[in-house]
Amino acid sequence: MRIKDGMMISIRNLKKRRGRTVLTALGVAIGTSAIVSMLALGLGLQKNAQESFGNFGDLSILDVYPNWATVAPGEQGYISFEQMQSLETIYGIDAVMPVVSYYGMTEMRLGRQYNGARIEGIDFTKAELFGLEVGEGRLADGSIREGMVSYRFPEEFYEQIKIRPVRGEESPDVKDPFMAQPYQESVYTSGRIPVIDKAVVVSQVQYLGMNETKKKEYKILVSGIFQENTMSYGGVMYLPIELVEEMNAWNSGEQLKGRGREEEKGYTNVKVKVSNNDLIPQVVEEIRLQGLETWSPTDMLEELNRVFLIIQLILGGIGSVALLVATIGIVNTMTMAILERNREIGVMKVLGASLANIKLLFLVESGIIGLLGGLVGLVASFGVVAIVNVVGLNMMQGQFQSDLAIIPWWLILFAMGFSLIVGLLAGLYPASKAARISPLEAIRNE
Amino acid sequence: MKDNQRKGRIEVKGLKHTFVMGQVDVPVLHGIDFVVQPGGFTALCGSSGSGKSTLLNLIGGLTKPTEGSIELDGQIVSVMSENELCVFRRDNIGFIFQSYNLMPYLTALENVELALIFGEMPEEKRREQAIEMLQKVGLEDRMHHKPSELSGGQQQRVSVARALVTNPKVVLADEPTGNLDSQTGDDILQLLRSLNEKQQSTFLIVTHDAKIAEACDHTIFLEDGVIVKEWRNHHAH
Ligand SMILES: Nc1ncnc2c1ncn2[C@@H]1O[C@H](COP(=O)(O)OP(=O)(O)OP(=O)(O)O)[C@@H](O)[C@H]1O
Ligand SMILES: [Mg+2]
Repeated sequence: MRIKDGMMISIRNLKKRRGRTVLTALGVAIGTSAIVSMLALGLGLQKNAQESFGNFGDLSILDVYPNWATVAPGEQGYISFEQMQSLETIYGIDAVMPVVSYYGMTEMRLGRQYNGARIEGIDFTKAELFGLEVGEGRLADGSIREGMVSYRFPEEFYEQIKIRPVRGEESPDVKDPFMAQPYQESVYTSGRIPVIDKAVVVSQVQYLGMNETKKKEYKILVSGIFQENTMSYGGVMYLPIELVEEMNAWNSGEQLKGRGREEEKGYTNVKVKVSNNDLIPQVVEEIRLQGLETWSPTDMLEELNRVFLIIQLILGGIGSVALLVATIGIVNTMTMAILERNREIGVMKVLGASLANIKLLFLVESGIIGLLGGLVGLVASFGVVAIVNVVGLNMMQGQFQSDLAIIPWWLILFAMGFSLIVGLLAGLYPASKAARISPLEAIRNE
Repeated sequence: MKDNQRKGRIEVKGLKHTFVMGQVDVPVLHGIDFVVQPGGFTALCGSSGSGKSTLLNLIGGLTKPTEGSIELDGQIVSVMSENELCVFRRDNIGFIFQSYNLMPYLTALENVELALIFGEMPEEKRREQAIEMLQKVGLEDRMHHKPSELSGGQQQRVSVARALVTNPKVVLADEPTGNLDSQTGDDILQLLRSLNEKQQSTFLIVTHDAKIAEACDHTIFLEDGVIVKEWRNHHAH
């Protein structure tokens, strides 16, 4: 028998039982749409997760903090030297670098240009490991006379311009003693100011009383500029840790004896470099076991993934159950068809239809039911995905850049192939049952 | 000369058949031997339950005998596998039943074509042959009617056309006139007889009707599963 003729006969048979065909296919449609929606959601979330990872920058660098729960309220927590050393022994951690931020007021000046950048103390020898790569100039030598700046630093200079109010444009509230006086205005300088090999004057300021200030000045030679990176935003001046410790000590009025005070207590913040992104969750857990606190975007993603996994499992469960029921439905429909068409099958066998011919007729029929269901299910899942994307994006309030669920072209092929296979598998048993019908028995009962 | 073109020599030797119904064995045929000459028009007579249909179905390969052999032009039907029997039926046998056994949802033409669909014949050729065959049985103006729109005689003509469209070696008819009034039955018999002459294939017809039996070249009487009488008429040819 030619395949074309087999198809024709099968389609005619399906059309004869249109209602039953549609109902049976509907089962497949429900199952397919649940499974496709599940996969579409999974794929969408995966894509979003990857995009979010991109936004978080280098995930392999973790910030480690003291565990605030173990620190008395109002006290500053520290990561001790012993703790730093044991961090270094954690499997997956390549390097540990303390970061000391400067807390006090500063003023940075290069000629007439001022800059309000933050100050951070780092270990220049480890800078590259932590994503700070030299873009221009050279690495600082680590002495207290040299520092480096972030990529944005040269763009954030401003000038202090003295402005004397013009007569007549004074505030109507003439009693205000400040209004008549000249005041200063900061005007940002456009473009990048060359800073390499220039000495920036960094002065610490302390206000002691009403008009009494105390100042301490350092001349810092800028040896180079780091490349732009996602680690630090805006203008930052990087100085050796010791220098920042000294500045912090001066600021709080303490006297440093010998090496830094921080060395005795430890550090408030330590950065850790993880060798492999896959090890991040494991390293995070280890750090916490050591009584320290850290955070990684992978944490949040894991949490999200857990939630979405549950949603996917529910959808997958519905899909599997629906498909199972649909499969049974197809088997049932086809078995009923055999009973009804017993005589027809007998006549076809009398006319010389081979076992393969009869099997083909039934497999084509169940395959078409499967495919039909798959098609309807696919259309339905496009609807489900559209709803998920509208409702889901509203609920997520911009946490996601792109669609929550996506149906790539291969998922369409997969769904069609899958439903076809479901149909064919469900038809296997009825087909062989039909093929085994004895022509004699079939035409005998009149 | 003419005998060389004829086809469908049937040789039955020591044929026994027993139906097994659960625990009970129902012996139906108890050792049958006969030969049907190629191109012959043979009647198979006997009372109800004597085993006529069973014998016919065994020759047509619808089921396998318990014992003995059936040969058609040297092919041993009785040893064929189920798949071989399917092909054997398709290529060598045309069946005609008392109750027509037409597909109710197919037109006369489609019913006739169905006999050709299990081969590899191209669609146009298939259609052409089916139309030609329907013309031979005088149904050219009823080709596109469904069985329910045809009279009993017309339905049986369709089934005759379906049996002969493959140009089989043997045509097996089980009481082809049993459901028809005597006039229509005579017409069908007339038709079978003329087709037998034209197509040169062997016809084996089960009948109760002594009139039919007399019109045949060869008559076999069956009683309780054995041949009790057999004669050849020479008046016909
Ligand atoms: N499939 C079967 N299973 C069991 N017994 C059967 C089967 N087919 C026929 N028989 C039995 O075999 C015997 C012969 O039946 P068969 O149909 O061959 O008779 P028949 O000569 O054609 O009779 P009729 O003229 O009434 O058609 C009967 O007794 C019948 O009950
Ligand atoms: Mg009978």
